[in-house]
Amino acid sequence: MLQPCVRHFSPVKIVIFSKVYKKGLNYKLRGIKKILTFSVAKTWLAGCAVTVCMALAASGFAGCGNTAQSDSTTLKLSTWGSAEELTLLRKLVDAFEQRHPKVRVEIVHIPENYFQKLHILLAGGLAPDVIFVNSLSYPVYADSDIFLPLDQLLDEPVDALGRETFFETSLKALTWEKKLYAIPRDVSNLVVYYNADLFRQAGVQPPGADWTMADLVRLGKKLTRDVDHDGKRDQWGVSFYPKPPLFWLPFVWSEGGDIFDKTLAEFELDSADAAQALQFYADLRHRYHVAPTREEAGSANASQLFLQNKLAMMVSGRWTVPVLRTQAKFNWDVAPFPRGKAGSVVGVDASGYAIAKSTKHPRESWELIAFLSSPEAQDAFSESGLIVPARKDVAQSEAFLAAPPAHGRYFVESIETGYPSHTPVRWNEIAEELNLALEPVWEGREKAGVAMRRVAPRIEKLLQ
Amino acid sequence: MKLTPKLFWMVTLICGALAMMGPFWVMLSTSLMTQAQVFKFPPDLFPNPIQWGNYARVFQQAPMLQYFFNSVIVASVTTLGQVFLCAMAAYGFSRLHFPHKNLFFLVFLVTMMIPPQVNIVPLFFVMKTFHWVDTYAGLIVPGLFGAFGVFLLRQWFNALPKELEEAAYMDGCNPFQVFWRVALPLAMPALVALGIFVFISSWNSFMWPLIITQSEALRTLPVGIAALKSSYRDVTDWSILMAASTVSIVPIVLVFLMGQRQFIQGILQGGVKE
Repeated sequence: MLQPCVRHFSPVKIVIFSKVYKKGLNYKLRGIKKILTFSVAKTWLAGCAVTVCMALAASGFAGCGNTAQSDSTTLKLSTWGSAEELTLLRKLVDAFEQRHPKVRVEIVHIPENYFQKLHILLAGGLAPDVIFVNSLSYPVYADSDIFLPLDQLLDEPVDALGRETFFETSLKALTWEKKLYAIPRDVSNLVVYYNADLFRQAGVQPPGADWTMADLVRLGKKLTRDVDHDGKRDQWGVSFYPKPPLFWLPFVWSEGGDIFDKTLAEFELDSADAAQALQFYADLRHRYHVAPTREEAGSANASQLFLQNKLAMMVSGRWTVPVLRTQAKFNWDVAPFPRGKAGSVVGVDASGYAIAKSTKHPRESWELIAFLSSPEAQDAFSESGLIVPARKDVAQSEAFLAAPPAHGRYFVESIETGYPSHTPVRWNEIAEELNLALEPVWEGREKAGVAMRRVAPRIEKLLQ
Repeated sequence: MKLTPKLFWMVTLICGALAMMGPFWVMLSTSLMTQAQVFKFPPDLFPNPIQWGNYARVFQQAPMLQYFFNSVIVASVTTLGQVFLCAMAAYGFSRLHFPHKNLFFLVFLVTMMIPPQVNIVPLFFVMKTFHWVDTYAGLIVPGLFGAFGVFLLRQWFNALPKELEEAAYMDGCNPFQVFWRVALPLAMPALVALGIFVFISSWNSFMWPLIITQSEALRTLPVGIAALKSSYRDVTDWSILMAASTVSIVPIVLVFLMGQRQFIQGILQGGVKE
């Protein structure tokens, strides 16, 4: 029987091949030619085919990376954000380029998985020069010594930028171990949005500047109703977000509790004050019955319920303003977060621009940040309605305060009384643990104190 | 007597089909709604009035044609390349003889069990060494090979009668010619099936294109569509997002319709072990 396709490779050939193959890994064309002359690559290990193909392609594409060098500087600026935000940023960057003809800015827009990709870029030595970060997520980078400390730059004011330009809390939120690592663009905090029409129908006064947790329950009870009398509630007093923590932390802070101690070494949610505050939040659902349960809300989130006239009060941030401006068919306004025994304390997160330590153009990077922090740029960002500017003068300007909502000043006032976010390096993992531990509490199946004592050892391990 | 089981299966299949079609219907109808209608509760099944303008807005808001072009280039080059390379490797494993053949094949199959996420970082480093970050090469080359394709095609080649190839050798063909002129044409259904698999997974792939591309000009559709989503959930324009998603599945549906017959044949026969 004829068996022409039987091809035994002699051991000698195999040895030579493996040597050549190793060389081939260096992607030297010489090695590849040898592989080809042995005519092994055609039908041998397919992995080798890939190598050849990669190597050939490498020789073909190698030129692509190094385009002609000119005397202009290219800065890379990485950011997340929607298409509208990007359009806005692009306009500003164009204006910057006009003023600095020798600098070109390339925007690296990462719409999803921002920090995952940033991780890889940093690890790969391809960090952008200017990196947009958020106070909740940046400590891991600051702690790894990846960003340039910016204190000096702010202390010798260039372009009329100084510490006093920004809200103190926003600078604190972006400070890690006493060093400032990013210049804040915006501040994000929480207020209470309310549907003024529902309050008028129920004949009660909407919340004002000094309202308390007790008022929240009282008003909530008046505004939770069964509108169509089918035996099921279809209008609720106040929104309920089981996660992320930023929605329940203000209840803890306003009652004098905290999640960690000042040095981020101890977990403190298992203290009596904090556990009581968490229990109060759960009670809004299961004891006072003023917030929708998970079953009642279904797939609708708070802003959907709010837009459908089914929610009288919603705890939310500035980002809801554009939607309400365009889609709300009722009168609405905002009030500060209700006061507990420690006052009205919400978290103050900040987003801002950091400079990568690896940049070759720290000067130009700083100029770009200074421009993006100018009143002109901050005006443009805040006009979109999405953000509360981190610059005091812009946040207190007529243009910002006059636009709806009528009491927009509460956004600004609660920055000063707020609690700058101060998260440990492994915050993402901690938040995940807390979400899991609190789930039975939010479902009314467990007491907050019990859940927190149970999870405490796990959190302390993550704090070490 | 005979009618009841038939009826039962019909009802079961119709239920299954409805469950499969449900999400598509939601996508399609949402893509034609106003933002206010999207948030209505209970949700509406039909858009009213129909907002064809959403589709126009998709193309105004984002360089969709560029994304489309990139996706088509990446998916088709990946598909052609992977089918060709896998066919060569599979033929080698099926017909040629060399030491430790089965061991190599086993090592190959083992790579199927490594989750792709594990590879992302090392692969990124390799791409960086080649200066392929943010290039078409970086998007395409890592997708050119897959152990699954080798496995599928090897099964197919194993099932082919050897006599045909032997006849070709008698007529003076060399091994490559036998592969190219005899084995490959006979494997067409399996090649098409693999092609569809590869095309769909390349078309849908998100994480790798997100990581390897930097500039907007190189974005593929899934990355481009993600960019339409706002970082603030409340602000996302869902009808635009759904319109973009609807547009993006058109090529997949076309590819599937074109290769449907061979696709099913390929799975049936490739899946049978000797």
